[in-house]
Amino acid sequence: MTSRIRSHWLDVAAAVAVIVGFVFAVASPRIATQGDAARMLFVHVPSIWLAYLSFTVTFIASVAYLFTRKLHWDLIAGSSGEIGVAFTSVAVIGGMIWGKATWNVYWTWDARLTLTAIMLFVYIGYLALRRAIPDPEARARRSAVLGIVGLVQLIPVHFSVTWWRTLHQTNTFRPRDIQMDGPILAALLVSVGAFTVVYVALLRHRYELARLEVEALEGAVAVSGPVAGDAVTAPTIGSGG
Amino acid sequence: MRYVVIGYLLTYGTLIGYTLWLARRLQAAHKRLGDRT
Repeated sequence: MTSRIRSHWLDVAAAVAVIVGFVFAVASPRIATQGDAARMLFVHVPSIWLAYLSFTVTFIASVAYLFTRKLHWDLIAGSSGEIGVAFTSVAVIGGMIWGKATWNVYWTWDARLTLTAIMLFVYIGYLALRRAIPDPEARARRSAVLGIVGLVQLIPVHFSVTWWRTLHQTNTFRPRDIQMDGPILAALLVSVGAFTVVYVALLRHRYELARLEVEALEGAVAVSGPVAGDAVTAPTIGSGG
Repeated sequence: MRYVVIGYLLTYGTLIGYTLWLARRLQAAHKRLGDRT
């Protein structure tokens, strides 16, 4: 009961955060260099931030699973991976729309764009891998390896704009070198905060769904009893005539 | 401005769409477990 009330309040907080984030984004002053197109900042940066956050949680939960072999870590990893894929898709497609508004092209083979797209496809592969393996333990073990290896991409994705000459602007938020006016920075931080609250609420529900799916699977196995293949035993070598 | 509107519709649309899809899957999972017990 307490958990449900907490979940309910988290949902309310997420809904309020989204509305507040939207109001801040719309009310922020117009940026002289890009005009209204720069308002994409308040949805594009929070989306890619959630991608980073989700895949980092997937990484941490994958490591925790391999150390502890407790299935709930695998469920957290998979749940966070799914949310990460949703928000990486939004970041990539939203970035293309912003690109069209500022560069006049939807897509260019820029390092940041290309690496982010590759990261998206790797995590779509991660979700596909999870669906392809029915055995929960094998699925958890194999997807944990991909969940750990997958995060390595985050480093070149994030630093691509510093390492190479790219069309994409350098990282928007640099704590040691903030070059944003107060109201714009405030709107950006509120949007990032709002999306983070949404992520926590979504993760909580997605984890609950994963847990229910496992319970349903265990229930189905218990109800159905032995399957046809159980009657077949491996031949004993050397026993035949 | 047109692109900003499309971008916001995409982002908030995905957010709402994913939330509704998740709610539907949760409801179905609860129903499946409820039917079995």
